[in-house]
Amino acid sequence: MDHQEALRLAVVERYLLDELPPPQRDEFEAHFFECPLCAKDLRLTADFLDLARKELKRGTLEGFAPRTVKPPWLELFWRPAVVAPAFALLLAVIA
Amino acid sequence: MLETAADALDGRLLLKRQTVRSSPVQWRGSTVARERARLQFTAFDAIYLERLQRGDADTEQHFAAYFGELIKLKLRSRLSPREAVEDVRQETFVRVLALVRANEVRDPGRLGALVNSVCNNVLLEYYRARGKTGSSLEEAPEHSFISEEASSLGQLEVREAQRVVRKILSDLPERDRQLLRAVLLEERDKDEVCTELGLSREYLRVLVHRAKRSFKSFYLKRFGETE
Repeated sequence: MDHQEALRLAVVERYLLDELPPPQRDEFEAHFFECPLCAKDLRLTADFLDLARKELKRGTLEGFAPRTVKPPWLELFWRPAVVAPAFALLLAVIA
Repeated sequence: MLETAADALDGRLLLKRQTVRSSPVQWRGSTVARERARLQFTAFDAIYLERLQRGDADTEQHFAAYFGELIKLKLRSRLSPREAVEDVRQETFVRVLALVRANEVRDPGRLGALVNSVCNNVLLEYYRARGKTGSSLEEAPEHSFISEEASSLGQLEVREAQRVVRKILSDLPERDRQLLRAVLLEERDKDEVCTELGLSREYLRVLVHRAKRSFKSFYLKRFGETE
């Protein structure tokens, strides 16, 4: 296996996800011990997966999730304190 | 000498072999500098080999750190107890450095191949010593690929890297997070999870690849490396 083949087959991800058949796994190991680029990519991906696992375990990702931000005026309009009098005024006008 | 090399890996004395003794050598740089040196590419050329032969402390530290991580990645899917991984790793270093000092390594460009080959032999011997029948490198992993031990990033970088990873995960659609949670954390069957979520099997690999690319920009910036 050479570097181009490793890139083409996305072997780093497949190796760490344990998706390579044993012969291909051994072939890639022989390669990354000699290829500094693949070695670096492997370390980086392993670091990412380790940290991702820790973050998922912490279960605090919801706090970071992007929320839909309502415009302040719209939020104000839908408050009961505003809606109720407005509705009453509307009824009075109609009556 | 070997004690120093092993010590450079994670700050603890791992090598307990009584057969190899040497005077300890202090690492002169900061932790960050050490991490940078560890991750930097170094050509395994004749000069590197010559330095290893004469026991240059910095070269030995680089050698142990660089190949130590690769051996750990290789063994994490094959050996379960951390102690076993350390045993195999240390034995591999002992044998490779013995060969280097005996001037039996002619081609410095093949140093990586030699480390891998020696590691395979040590691993086979370890399996045999445990009395496993049919033990070979082909056997199924004993546990998940994810290790419980700390990231190979230095401690100073871990917190920062964690923030980046948290942001990357938070920006993912909930379905993608579910997929990663099921595979990485709950260690569920990947095929089953993908079917449940209505995703192709290939999607998981693509997802990891994309997330890794986002992480990579931080990683390269942090260590000042270029592709």
